[in-house]
Amino acid sequence: MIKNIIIYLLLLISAFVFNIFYFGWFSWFLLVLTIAVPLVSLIVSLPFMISSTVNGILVFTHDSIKVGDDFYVGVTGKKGKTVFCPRIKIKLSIENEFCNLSEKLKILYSGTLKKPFYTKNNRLSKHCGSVNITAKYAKIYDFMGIFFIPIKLDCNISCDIMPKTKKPSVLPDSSKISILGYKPKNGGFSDYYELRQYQSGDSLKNIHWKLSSKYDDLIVREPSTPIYRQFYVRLLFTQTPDTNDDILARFMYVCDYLNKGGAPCLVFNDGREISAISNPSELKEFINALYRNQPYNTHFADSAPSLVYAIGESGEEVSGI
Amino acid sequence: MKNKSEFFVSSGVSLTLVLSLLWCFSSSFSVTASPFVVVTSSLIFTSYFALIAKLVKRKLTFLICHLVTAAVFVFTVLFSLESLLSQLNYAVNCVLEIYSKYLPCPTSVIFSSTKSISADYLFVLLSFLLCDAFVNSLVRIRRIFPIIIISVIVLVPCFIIVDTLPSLVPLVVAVSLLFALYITSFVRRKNPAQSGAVMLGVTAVILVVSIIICRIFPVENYKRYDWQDKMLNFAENITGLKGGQSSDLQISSVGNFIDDTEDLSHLGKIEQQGKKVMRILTDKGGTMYLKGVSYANYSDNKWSILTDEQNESRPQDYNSFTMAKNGNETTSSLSIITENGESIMYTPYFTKEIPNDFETVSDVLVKNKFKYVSYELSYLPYSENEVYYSSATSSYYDYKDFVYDIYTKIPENTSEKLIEIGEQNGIYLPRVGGDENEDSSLYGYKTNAQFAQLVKDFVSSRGYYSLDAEHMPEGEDFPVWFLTEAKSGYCVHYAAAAAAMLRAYGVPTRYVTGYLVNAKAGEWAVVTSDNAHAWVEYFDDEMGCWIPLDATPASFVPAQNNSNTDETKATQENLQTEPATTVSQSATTAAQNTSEMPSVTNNNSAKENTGYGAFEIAIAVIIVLLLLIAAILIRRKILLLVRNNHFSKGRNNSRAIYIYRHIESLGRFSNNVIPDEIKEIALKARFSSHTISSDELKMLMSYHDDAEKELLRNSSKIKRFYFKFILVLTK
Repeated sequence: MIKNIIIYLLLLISAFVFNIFYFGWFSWFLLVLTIAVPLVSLIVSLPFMISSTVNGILVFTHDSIKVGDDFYVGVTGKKGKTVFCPRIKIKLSIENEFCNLSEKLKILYSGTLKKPFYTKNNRLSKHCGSVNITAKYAKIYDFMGIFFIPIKLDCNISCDIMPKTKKPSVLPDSSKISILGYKPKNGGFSDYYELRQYQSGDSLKNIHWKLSSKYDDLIVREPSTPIYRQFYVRLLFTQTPDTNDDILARFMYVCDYLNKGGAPCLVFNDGREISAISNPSELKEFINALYRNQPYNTHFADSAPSLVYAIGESGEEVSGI
Repeated sequence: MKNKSEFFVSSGVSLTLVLSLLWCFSSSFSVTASPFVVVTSSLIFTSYFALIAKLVKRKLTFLICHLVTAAVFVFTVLFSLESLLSQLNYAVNCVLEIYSKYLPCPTSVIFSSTKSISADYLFVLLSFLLCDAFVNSLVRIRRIFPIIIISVIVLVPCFIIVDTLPSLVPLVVAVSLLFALYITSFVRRKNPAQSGAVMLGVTAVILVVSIIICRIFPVENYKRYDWQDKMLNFAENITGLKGGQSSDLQISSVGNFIDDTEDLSHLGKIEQQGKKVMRILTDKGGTMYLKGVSYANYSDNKWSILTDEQNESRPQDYNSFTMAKNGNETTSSLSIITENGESIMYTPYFTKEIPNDFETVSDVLVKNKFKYVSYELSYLPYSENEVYYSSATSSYYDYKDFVYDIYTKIPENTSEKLIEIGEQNGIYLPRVGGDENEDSSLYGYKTNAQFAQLVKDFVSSRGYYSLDAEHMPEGEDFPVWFLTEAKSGYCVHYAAAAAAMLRAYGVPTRYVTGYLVNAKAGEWAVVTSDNAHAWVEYFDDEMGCWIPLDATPASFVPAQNNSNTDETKATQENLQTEPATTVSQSATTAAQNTSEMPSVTNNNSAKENTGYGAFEIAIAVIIVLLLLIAAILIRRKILLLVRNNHFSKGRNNSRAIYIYRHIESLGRFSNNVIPDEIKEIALKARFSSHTISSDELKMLMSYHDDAEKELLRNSSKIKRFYFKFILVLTK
């Protein structure tokens, strides 16, 4: 480390100057000791440095946390053996493309790597996005931090910073999310069924025997899917990470609100592509894809009557297409 | 309790460091204190402060604990204030006694007379303060910076300014501990749980390394290398400053490193301190005078050395320090190892040859130019029955004229009174004619040696020898007063009176200071400050040399010189196996490389002969650059500390104002417009009576961080350096 080398050089120069100007034996002793100390430090540290290098080092972090939560980066020994490491320095490159964040993080530690050592850095969980952490090398230093052995790390880990939910000032009108009708569903089970007369080719499994006996005709139960009024959510992101965090927080609320109301949340992207979100797990996957600028469950919007609910910097706006 | 090992090791290190520093201070200035009291009190203070530092978590409670402790201690001090002040007075006197040597005053400076002969309370007070500082630094805040600063403050005056050296054991221990703390500082900060064991191990290793260094480079055999002197010369030339070690043959410069005047008017009681000064080894045992400085002029109760004007009339090729002998010239050898590199060389009677690295300064002294701590001389042991002569016989008559011109001067009043006293006691000047009844042998011609013997017998019979000598009343003439009124005196009194009286009778005499040693042949004799002595030299016309004359009564017994058998053997072995370490031989080597010898003539010739090589210039440039870098880093650190302190402590409103001011200064460089909401918060903080909330403060801080980061991101590398190290931005 440059800082340690500079401090040591200053010490050495002081001892040297003292030796030049002071004629007593002590000045010579001090100079020799100052010269010997880094070598002693290296000799004492070398076994620990080598064993740490052989055992290897692992860097890890959370899979996903919410905005504003504590963000930890952990370091541990790969083989979990009790290895004392005099001084370890790992330089991490951290990138969050979604909020355009890029910075370096230094991890400095001394001690055994049997238990993980955590570095807290809440600046990284300040905004939404996927935090990618990469590091090519770690350096194991001696006690004085002058000599080192490099270790290849090839660390490439990421952590998703999920938005918190925030109630928007304007919520979508529930009456406008009503079911317009039903359409047959190709096979499978459904909460909604259409009843009709048996036609040739219908599966015997679908015959509603109770009703058939009542009406004395074969009645078939056909699985259907409701036709909702199309309700699109549009996210108007800006260049400001704080605003984007706010937009995503409101989107989370709206999505949850729609799903609880039984309607899918259709996120309207550019080029008339939409992504349908029906439950929390899909929402999480959608946000992950959003952070990485990848498509998620996309299809083209149909011609059904639609409403667009836009979430932007200045608030929410509902308009029809 | 968490981190027990760290707690115990840190406490132990603090205790050892405190005791080492106190011991260094005590040994440097000869301040006595009871070891039992100091160790016990330090142990108690360390335990107490360590427990408080470890167990009391809350800052307020910690502060209250300290206040209560301080109050109790202040009350204790108040109850023993008188003795504490007395001991402080004693310690200050001890320090001033050594510092007086470097002050422009004729005698030792004392703060005030005191009855105290030890500084127990004072050391307890010091140990209280040091323990508090060290234990809290190590156990609580885990920083070594305060410890290093305090240690340097205590150590530097001990051996740099006064050119003395503390006892080596505590010094080596203290330095080793400081190095161990420096090496383990990172582990202690990052992983306190394991730092105890690490610190213990590293301390042990450093102590072992220190012991090995002490064994490889023993104190006795230490000799400076040529490159050290070259570097010193270079540094002195480049700075235009001449240090105390530089050679300068002007007599007027002698006052820079020794007392060039002996003031007799303030003589009083002296105490023996037994401080080790040197060790000597001679192959001829017996009482030995080691001459230091000779004083030539007497006036106003003061003996002073020759002046440059007087020296001009001296034949420069006449060396009064070296002698030869008629007949069988059996020489003896003398090895001297001083505790510290002293500026003068001590010469026995009579030195055969002055080694090359030493230089005579007129008749005054032999200068130890390079402050060698170890040197060897060959000498002709003085015996009254032997005849000596100066090797520079050609200028003998010139020198004799010079001696009779300079070394017989004495104020007329003093001379008359001393002759009157002498005649009353049977010492008469040679007389032409006279009464028939008078005993002609009394008035007949006497040689200088005969006069010397008569005066010696008379002076040494006056009063009795005692270190508790009375003060001379003001207005008295010292030799007259001593020979007529004084009841007791010590060597200085007798020597000064005898020298003056001999001069009154026209015998060339001078007053000499040095050491009187009883040495056994082939055994190392330890010379302490108790062996310091004063005597007289008179000029023998026939031999052309200065003969020592000790007028101190026979009741005076020089301090016994004990020698450590093991140490003696070891040193003898060293001298036998490593003869190159002695000065006489190194002088031979140096003589072969005369061109490499540091210039000793004058500044101008030194500058003319010195060509600055590329290496020297490069070293100078590197040193300047490193100092500059260090200054920039230290400034940055201090500014960051101050800023962080302002940002994180105090009322929210004042913190907000500081942060906003910094944002404004950042805005001047980035040309960013500060958002209205940030301005509103700043205005609210400045003018509103409402307190800024934590959220608002966070917002301000967040904007500040972003602004700093953005400024750095958008700047070129040079500007970034400027912003980071000159304007001190953190990101």
